[in-house]
Amino acid sequence: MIAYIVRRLLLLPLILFGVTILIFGMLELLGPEKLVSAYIRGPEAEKVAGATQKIIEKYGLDKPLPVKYARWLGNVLKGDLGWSLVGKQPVLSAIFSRFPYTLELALWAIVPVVFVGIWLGIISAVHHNKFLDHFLRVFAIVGWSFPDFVFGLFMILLFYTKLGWFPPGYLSFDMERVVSSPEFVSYTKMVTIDSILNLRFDVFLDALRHLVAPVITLAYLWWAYILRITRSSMLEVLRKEYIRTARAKGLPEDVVINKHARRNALIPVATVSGQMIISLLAGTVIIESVFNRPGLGRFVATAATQLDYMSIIGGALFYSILLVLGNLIVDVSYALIDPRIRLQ
Amino acid sequence: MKDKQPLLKVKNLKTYFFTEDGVVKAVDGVNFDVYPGETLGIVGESGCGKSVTSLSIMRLLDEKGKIVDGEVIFEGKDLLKLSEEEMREIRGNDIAMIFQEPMVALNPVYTVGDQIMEAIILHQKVGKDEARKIAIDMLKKVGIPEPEKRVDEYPHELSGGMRQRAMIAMALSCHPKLLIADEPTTALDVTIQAQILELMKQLQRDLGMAIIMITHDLGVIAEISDRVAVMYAGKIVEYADVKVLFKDPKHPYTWALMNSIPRLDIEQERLFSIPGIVPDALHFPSGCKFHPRCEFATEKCKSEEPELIEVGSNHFAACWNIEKLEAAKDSVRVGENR
Repeated sequence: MIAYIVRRLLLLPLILFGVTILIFGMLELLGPEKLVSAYIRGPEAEKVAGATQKIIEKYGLDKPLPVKYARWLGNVLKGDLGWSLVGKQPVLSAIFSRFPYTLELALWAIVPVVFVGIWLGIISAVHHNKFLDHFLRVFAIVGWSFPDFVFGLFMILLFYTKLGWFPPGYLSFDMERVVSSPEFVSYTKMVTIDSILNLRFDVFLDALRHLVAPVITLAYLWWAYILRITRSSMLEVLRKEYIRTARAKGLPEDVVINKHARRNALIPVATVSGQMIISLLAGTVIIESVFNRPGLGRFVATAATQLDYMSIIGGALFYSILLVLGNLIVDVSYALIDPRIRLQ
Repeated sequence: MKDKQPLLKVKNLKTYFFTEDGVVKAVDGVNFDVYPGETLGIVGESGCGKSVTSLSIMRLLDEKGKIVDGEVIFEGKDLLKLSEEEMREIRGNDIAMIFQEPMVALNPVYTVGDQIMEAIILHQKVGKDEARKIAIDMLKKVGIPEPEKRVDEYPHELSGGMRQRAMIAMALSCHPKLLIADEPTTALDVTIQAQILELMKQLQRDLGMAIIMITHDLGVIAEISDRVAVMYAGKIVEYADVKVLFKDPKHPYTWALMNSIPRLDIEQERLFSIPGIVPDALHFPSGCKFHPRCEFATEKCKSEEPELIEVGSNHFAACWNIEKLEAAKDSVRVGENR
């Protein structure tokens, strides 16, 4: 197991190297002029004369490709991803200041989706072709075929306009004032966590109230997906002979299902969960816009419409690294579930 | 043997599968007894209902299969009348089972030891450490080298023969009174087959359990059984002591099966085979189900189904034309001598 993880970790720099090559390629496609102007829009340009020359020198823009790459990579490793036009701050700080919002939203969606989705999938499989199974399958098909922005608007219509329960946005005005006051210490920048750490449960509840609708919107699609994958994988596993062996041993049905069947059925679910985590982190663009929440998705979307190259490329690099790390987690969880994978 | 009480008595067992295409009478009125410590062989072609019989005894049929009639009396209790919970007490504890494919019958994500210990902890009410000791001991008994190491290995790390040995260790870990072996050697190489059969015989001597050996292989039957039931299309067509059956089969189907075994002592141009195919379980022929393939069939066979009748001591066969078969046997014997 440890050998497997070490081997997998040794692969990591190689993959990241590939990622940086791709991102650097994107940068190169801009051409030298756009590149200079993209870099120069930073604060250096406004104060210093001969800024263009400095930029060219700093990033080695007149040097051959490998040197340029090395310079760029060196700067990236130092945390210099350029200047964000949209954020009016360095790209890295722009990303880091917005990512907690997205992460918070995604985390609130991921946890219920994974656990409830798997649980519902197993229930559906165990009650194969009975009422509960049919009900859950209809639930899943609706979730699976609903575009998330339509569903999001529907949520706003129902829960805000009609019922007034869950407002869009991030926090209500009063609470926002509390959060931005100096007494409120921002530990993680995720307001649901910070509010608990600050013992401000009113803020927590308010944040939660704003989270319900976007989380359900995000979660429903993936709920449906995980449910379907778990169900079909579970149905397949339940037909396996080792399940009969387990029953022939006299094991109670819940042990047969929750020990012998579930672990085998989770192998394909792990693949999907990996995809899900990554796409939830990356794919909150629409949800953040529909529900008017701050976050990385919305930042990158805005950057794209305003041709803020440095932010786009910085975002791409950041998402790529997330993806690589996400896949690493999936691979490790595979190995945890299935001993046959550890040998490869 | 007759004066002893049977350990298991199967009476008029009928198991039907209710499919979309119709009712499949997989087991249609089967009777047999298993006495303590003996081995009963159930032999037949695939689809004859032999595996369904064993799964019916264990009550492990899938949802489409229903036991519609009959009794399965084990130590005086009708297993078909027990609650699911009482049945679980019996499974793995009093009656254990091993399957054809050790590759797929062991759970790939748990260690061999884990899977053996599970039954021990469940039925013998012992702790983990004790169960582990018993598991290692069982692995040693079934001839797995380095059992202390193997106990922590996963099924995919063992060879086919070793896996089947581990399956046997698992089945026997709670000292069952009856072991149902469903084609335990079919998926194995011939040399490994012989080893596994030898191991089963030896363990039977040591532990004293009864065995129901389900197979399509008459060689396996000859090797291990005391008595044999020959099944065809959901029914037992002949039932006898193993020596009697091989020497003097009374049912045309059994006789034809015997003739299909390649023999070294006679020169054969080509192997004998039974004409026709196993009938489709949805459309069994009327009367004796073997009649379309039987060379002795008469009009009576087409309309009336024969019951098992006693044709010798402890020897039963279900056929209208036993005399015809006897006559044919004589002529074949003449033919051999020529």
